[in-house]
Amino acid sequence: MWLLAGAVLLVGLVPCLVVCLRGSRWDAVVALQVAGAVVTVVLVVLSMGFERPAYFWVPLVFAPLAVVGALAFVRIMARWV
Amino acid sequence: MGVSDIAAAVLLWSGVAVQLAAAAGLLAGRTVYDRLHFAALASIPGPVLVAAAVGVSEGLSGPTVRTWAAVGFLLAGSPALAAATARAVRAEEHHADPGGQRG
Repeated sequence: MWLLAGAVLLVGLVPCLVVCLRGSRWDAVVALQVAGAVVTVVLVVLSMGFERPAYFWVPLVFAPLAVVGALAFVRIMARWV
Repeated sequence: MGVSDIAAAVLLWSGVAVQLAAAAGLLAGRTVYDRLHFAALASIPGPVLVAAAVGVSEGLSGPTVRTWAAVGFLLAGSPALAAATARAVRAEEHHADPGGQRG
């Protein structure tokens, strides 16, 4: 069940990729935020599916990196205005 | 299949549905502000539902604590991120159109 849910969730990255490629640069930043949240959930779900407690460190490290990384993009792009 | 398994399954698939809806909303949104609403949808209710599913399935354990910690980062960071993005977009719009003709 968990592995199937993880595989289904990966489909949610396709709209993020489409918006990144076809939208404006700010649309791409928002798509990056959504992709970060989706990937965090995918990592949690896959960790449950593989039944390895050590795998849960990966989403715990990824989540703050995704948030801070997207914030860094926003701050840097805002300075170019 | 016990009650907890059913509850975990319901929470998990609800979270998956919310995440997919948020991703689909990215395509449907017409402006950056519309898309920011879907970013909030992907960052808050979806991960909380999945973390609740992990909690129901695993009980109070290391994986549950780590999952809620990861979701906590999303819960704490995404509102600030959305606000910063909206302010930056608004600043760029104002810079491009100082007279505010485009509202």
